[in-house]
Amino acid sequence: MAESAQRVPEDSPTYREFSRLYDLARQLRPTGVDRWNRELYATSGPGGLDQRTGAIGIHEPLLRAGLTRNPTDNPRRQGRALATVLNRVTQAGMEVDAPGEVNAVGTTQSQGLHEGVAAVRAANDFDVFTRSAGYPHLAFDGTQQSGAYVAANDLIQQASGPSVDRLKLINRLNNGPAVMHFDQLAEAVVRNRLQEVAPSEGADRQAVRRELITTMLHPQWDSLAQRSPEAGQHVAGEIGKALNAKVDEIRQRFQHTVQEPAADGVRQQAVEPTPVRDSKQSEVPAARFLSGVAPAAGALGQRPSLGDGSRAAVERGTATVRSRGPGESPRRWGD
Amino acid sequence: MPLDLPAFNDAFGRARDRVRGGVQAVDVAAEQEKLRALVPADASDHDRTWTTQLIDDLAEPPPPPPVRSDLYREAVRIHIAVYPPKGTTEEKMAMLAEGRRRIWEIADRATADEEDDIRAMTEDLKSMEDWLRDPPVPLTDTPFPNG
Repeated sequence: MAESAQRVPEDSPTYREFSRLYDLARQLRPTGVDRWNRELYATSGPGGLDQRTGAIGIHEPLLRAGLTRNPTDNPRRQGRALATVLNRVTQAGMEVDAPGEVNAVGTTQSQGLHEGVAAVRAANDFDVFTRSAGYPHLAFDGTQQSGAYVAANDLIQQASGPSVDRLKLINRLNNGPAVMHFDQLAEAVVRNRLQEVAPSEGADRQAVRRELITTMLHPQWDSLAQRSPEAGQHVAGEIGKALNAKVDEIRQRFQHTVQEPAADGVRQQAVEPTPVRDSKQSEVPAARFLSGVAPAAGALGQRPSLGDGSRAAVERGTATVRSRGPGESPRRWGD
Repeated sequence: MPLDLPAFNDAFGRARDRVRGGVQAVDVAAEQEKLRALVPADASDHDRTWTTQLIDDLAEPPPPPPVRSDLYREAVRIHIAVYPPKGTTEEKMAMLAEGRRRIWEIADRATADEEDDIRAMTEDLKSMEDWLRDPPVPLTDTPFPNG
């Protein structure tokens, strides 16, 4: 199903409006990368960002009739057009590859998450973007999409917490690179749930993140991306449970390491899990993870209450974190 | 002093998450006050106008989700059937293209209100198809090609 594309002249009102909106969207959430090559195309199909050339394509009716501040009889088209601009800006604002990064994910799941991150960012920033751009109050239900949006949104929700909240995580993901999105989600999980027991920056912390990524890449990820938003919630809960168990397993392993007698014979202080505070949380561990309430909201410095996870998983968690391999380099959270 | 757009955008996003998150009771007026404090007194008229409207709207319930037609639901079913695609790379690309074609046909028959939303379902199909045809990074079967 080939699509045709017509170059939009740079001196046309459509191009000027797209360019103005593009710049404004970048101001809202600045990144250090801009891959748009300044070519804009009106396409017969959905268009997209050409990953090779950096050209941007948008479905012709959206471009012509949607990107105008004049009164319109189809505000839904305006809303969709502006959301599409946000989507393209997000994708053009980050690199895809991260050469040499050992935690880079090279499967098509990275592509799915990349697509989903752009959709989540578009839904999140839509209100401020459209109002600041001078467009009227537009109704846009950014959550209506299935597939990539649902999967990315749920993973972001699961990885968010008191130290790295949803907005901070969206901002980090917005910077890319795309193949590191899973690693960025994993780092958020470490900061929100494992900070006091996880190794500091370096290969060991990288290995912890890799374990979490492997859990997120559970086959159910594909299933999640396949669901309608409603059905996706159930699978999201399943992935949340798996992540809960993995977090518990890692916590127990590092607590065990800390509890080993030190060389001078003095037993070091171990971090004990705090009791679960909310009975609903203990009934629905996945929901607890999803809602980011552990540790207690806003209680930085308190210990995460993830103590009721799968003991079987804990018992299985005997693997030790491997040492740094060739090409591994410490990564820092760039916020 | 101009409005700090990224700071306002993030603050508004957090306030909206709290107000509409439904997890616990929120003092909406206090949230609005905090947002107003982020708008400098000498911000441009344009910035003062749109931020005021946006902050005021925070107290209103969000618009209800749109009621979807049978055509929309049919397009969702097609999307679910083809994404993510299965088989060889060639088979995956063919599956995605066919799904795109069928959803596009449905959009041609939809109302003006809904047709763009239906076409938007093909964005991730097209994007994956493009990646499979000409990967911007080498695609691998296992997650960590550098590890």
